[in-house]
Amino acid sequence: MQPRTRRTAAIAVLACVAGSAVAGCSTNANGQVHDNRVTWSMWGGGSADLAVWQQVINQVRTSTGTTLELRMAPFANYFTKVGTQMSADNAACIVSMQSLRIGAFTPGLLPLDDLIAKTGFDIGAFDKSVQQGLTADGKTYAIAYDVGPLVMLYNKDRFAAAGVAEPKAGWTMDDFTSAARKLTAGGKYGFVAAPGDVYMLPMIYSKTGGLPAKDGQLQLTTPAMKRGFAWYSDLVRKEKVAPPLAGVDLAFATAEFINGNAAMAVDGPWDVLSVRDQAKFKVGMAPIPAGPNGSRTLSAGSGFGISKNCTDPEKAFRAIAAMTSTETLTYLAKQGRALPARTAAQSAWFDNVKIDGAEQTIRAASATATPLRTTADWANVSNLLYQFGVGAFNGSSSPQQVLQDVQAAGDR
Amino acid sequence: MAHVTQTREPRAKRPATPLRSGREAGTPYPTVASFLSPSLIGLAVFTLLPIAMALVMAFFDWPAFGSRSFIGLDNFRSLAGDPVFRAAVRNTLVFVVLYVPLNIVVSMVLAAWMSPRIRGRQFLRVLFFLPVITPMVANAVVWRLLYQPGGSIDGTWEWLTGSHAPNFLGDASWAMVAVVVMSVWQGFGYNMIVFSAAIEAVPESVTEAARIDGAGPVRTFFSVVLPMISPAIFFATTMTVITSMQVFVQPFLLTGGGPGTATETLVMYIYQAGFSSFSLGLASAASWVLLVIVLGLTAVQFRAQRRWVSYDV
Repeated sequence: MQPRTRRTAAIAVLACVAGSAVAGCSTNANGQVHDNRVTWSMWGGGSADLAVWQQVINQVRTSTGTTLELRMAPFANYFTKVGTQMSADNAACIVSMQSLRIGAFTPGLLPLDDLIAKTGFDIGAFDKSVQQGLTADGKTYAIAYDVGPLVMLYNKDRFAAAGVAEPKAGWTMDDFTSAARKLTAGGKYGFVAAPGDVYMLPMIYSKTGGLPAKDGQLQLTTPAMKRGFAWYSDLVRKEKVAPPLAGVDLAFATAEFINGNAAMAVDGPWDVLSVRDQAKFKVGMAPIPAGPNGSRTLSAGSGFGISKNCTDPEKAFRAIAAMTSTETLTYLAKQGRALPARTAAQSAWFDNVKIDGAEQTIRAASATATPLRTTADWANVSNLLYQFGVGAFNGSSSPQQVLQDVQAAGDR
Repeated sequence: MAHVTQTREPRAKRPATPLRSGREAGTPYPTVASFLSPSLIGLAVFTLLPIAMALVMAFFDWPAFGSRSFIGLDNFRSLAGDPVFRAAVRNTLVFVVLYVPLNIVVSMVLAAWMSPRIRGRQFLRVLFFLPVITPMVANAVVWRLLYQPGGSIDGTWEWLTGSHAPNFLGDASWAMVAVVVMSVWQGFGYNMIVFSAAIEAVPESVTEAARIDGAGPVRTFFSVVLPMISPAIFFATTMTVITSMQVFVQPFLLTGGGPGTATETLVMYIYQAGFSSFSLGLASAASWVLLVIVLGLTAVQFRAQRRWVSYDV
């Protein structure tokens, strides 16, 4: 190499190194729409996830001519990553969003109402509760693809062995506690309780009507929340019908149920099929036990939104319409993915689920479910609920104190 | 050129000293600069710039989205008024105070034990070093299975005594101990290798002289070997204090900082402020507090080393 060429090469490398700190040496930044390619970020990982989403990409390409470029991150890091990218105006065009966390991301998301009106998209074809969950300040920020009214899963084998009547529609909190007591024996438990938001809050809501937030404001210390949380944590602490907790482990409740250690667990439809496949026993499904105001439950779900830095929102919206079409969602339901938010595609999921009571339970739960409304700081609050909550379950701090601490930390 | 001649003069009297400076050897300045530039640019862009940027951000209300505003010392004020932050500082210091001495003692004892050419020495070294090179995440998951109620420790305990073991991770009085024990297991291998190498570098003539003078193995270790490897001990303690001030993965995975704030550390606080609440200004302020504490502790150690570290080998 001649000295001059060497110097030029060195300068080129240096320029790229220096430039990468500012803009990145790659040519296709996130959020940009080039040649019918639209970026899409989604949580997940592994080849099974990839294969399913690849099929979705194929269907979108066939029906709209747009090619989706998938960026995947594991669920645990997904929202951190999206938040960081949004703050740098570098998010993918289509951003997958979970209803509980949407509050934190609305500043980076485009309200979709204009696009919905402009394209004549029929939002009424989707489950109401999850679509409400994806709305903030009266604006729609995402189109739902899955819906999850929380339900009670139970271990049919354990119920049969203990001679306890299986839960059915209309069962009450008293029925629940007595079943949990009877099923707790020989080192195994009747139920699994944990301070994870979606597992705990539906039970509290049904028992006392307590909800964690109102109008985007955290309200953990209302009398209903206090009574509900004390009752729920007592299932571990006093009643001892649920296993003690060790540290923060979001997978704890589901894992205890799958390995047969707990005979009942609250869970959402998004988990049901994988629980059924992993469990070495027959799984049954029932509504959340009815409290004084009848059977109530909360729902959560996910959908696709568009980031503000997307250069061609219309194209992205057409792609989202194809991603949430009856055809695509039916395909996802048949693959054993979550329960489709589009009601017309739900029958495929029910045909696939093969769990006693599933269709009746979920249809009834969907009809009455309230979307679990959260705050803009929910990711933090739900961490804190778990982090502080463990103490209430294990008896090292009082349930009231835990709620006060989390409320105080959430208010800061 | 004056100072060049000045520096050359004393060198001329000590011809055995090798020439160290490229400039004195006649290497042109641009060549020196070009060899240094990759690491200098890297240091500037990826270390100095972010540190300076964090200092600027610490004085701003800097949300991930939306408008930023200058708020002076408010971030530091809210840190001072935040009981969770104070708990995080306290927990981090408790962790350092428990972890560093334990780590140094365990690694020193093992290094000393292996210093005579015992059988299977190489194998043992690899064995003890394994936790250092296995991913911390995997280690933490395994330890969680050991610690949790119904886990291996609880099972063994119940078999031996008929009662349940404490809920190590779920009980506020045990959680930090559990995190420290796991961390020592994970981390001692590194210092053990450092000490092992240092002990081996102690000239045999010195230990032999001590033996001839009638010193037993214990006396030889404490009065001869230990002072001679003091630079290695200094290096190990300084580095271990710095890394343990930054402890994150172990409590994050084992306890999530709980129960309550029993195991929440400074870096966890920074992570949660920055990436869970997206308050980047507050997270930067807390990072600077950490940086200042680490710098302070390191400065104290450097000052103190003059009294106990000897470089006369």
